[in-house]
Amino acid sequence: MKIYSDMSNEQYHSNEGYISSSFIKSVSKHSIAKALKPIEPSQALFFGDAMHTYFESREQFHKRFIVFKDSEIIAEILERRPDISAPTMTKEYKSYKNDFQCSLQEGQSVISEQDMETIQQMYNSAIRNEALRDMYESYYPYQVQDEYSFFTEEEDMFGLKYRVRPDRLLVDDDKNPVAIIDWKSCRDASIKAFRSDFYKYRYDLQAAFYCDVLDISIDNFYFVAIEKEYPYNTAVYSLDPETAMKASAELSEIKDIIGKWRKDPSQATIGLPNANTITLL
Amino acid sequence: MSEQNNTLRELADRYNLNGKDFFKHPYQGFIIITRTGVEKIMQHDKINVTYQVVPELTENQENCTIKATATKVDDNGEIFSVESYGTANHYNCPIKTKKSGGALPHYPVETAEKRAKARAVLQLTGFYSEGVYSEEESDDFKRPKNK
Repeated sequence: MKIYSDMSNEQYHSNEGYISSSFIKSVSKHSIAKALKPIEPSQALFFGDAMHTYFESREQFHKRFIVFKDSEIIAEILERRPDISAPTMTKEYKSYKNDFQCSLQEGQSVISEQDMETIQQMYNSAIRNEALRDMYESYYPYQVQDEYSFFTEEEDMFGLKYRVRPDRLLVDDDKNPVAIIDWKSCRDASIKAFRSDFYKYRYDLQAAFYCDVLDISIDNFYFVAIEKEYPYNTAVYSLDPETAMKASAELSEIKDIIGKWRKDPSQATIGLPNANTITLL
Repeated sequence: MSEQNNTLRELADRYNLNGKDFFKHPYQGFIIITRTGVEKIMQHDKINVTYQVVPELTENQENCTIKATATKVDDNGEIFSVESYGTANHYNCPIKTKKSGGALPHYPVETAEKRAKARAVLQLTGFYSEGVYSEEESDDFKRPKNK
């Protein structure tokens, strides 16, 4: 296994020869063709990146993200022009924002004051969470590896190599992985809502895949769901044995599909598995 | 390539197993062969399995033990045979509740049979000695939290 402690997100994602968790999930949800489609940048992805960075390293966060403090300029605009409803659409505001963006260094991104506050609320919620604290305690003594990148070195029996980048990995004194923590920002961290996200986004496969690659028992994988809106609750989830067994079995099937496509990248292996059949529902 | 990977690849090639026929156990890391995988192995090696209920270990619908005898003949005509047992009771299978209270296993005979068959076949073909187990007995390996 090759391990990198300081690989950037961009570098990590550029290693396309290695199968990732996102690729596995995308194949399970649709097809190889869909999984090959590049992921477009979105506000949700940007927010997730900022949140993860904040949770993992305050120093890194402040290097990469610059808070755009616009509350004062908005207040000034509104004081002068109380009749307008969208101060952020004014020339004055746009000019102020443009000046701010021009002052950024390469690799820096702008984050709004509101998003910054949200991330801080989420962080405070997470560190106060008792289940999370208990979980950490159960692995004591441990060391933390945040956003380390792992690449398998030899092809497995499907002819595939893999990569994973756990949000937070707990390792023992000998640097053996003992637990994985995955931060999930969400609107609703309740059981019902998270269960829905869990299956919709195939978090079960993600857990099975990460544990498979890092050779960790799946009961040491934790999703920490943190609400990104009031009341900013945090809840910790893990997989029950039945879910874990099903996910592991499905993971093997998906690897098989990907392995076959690698050997024969034709229409037959790239599209929907049921594209040319009548499927009963 | 790791030893487990090597072994699995050899066995998969030999029996034409694919990703639907096996997977890695999510808790203990060994390889689990699914029901379809066991069937493929039986077909490939022309394995014959016979069954017997073990009366002294079987009690009404509450506990059932089946002995499976798996037999195959190699290319030289030599006969190999392995006996194994499968049990089903309310400790190791899905249960239903009795009218009088207490638990009864669902389909104990069928469950014990498929467990005995899978064990016998995997022992006969050498999978067991490679640390490969059947899906039918994987309930036994589900692990409660223990940290």
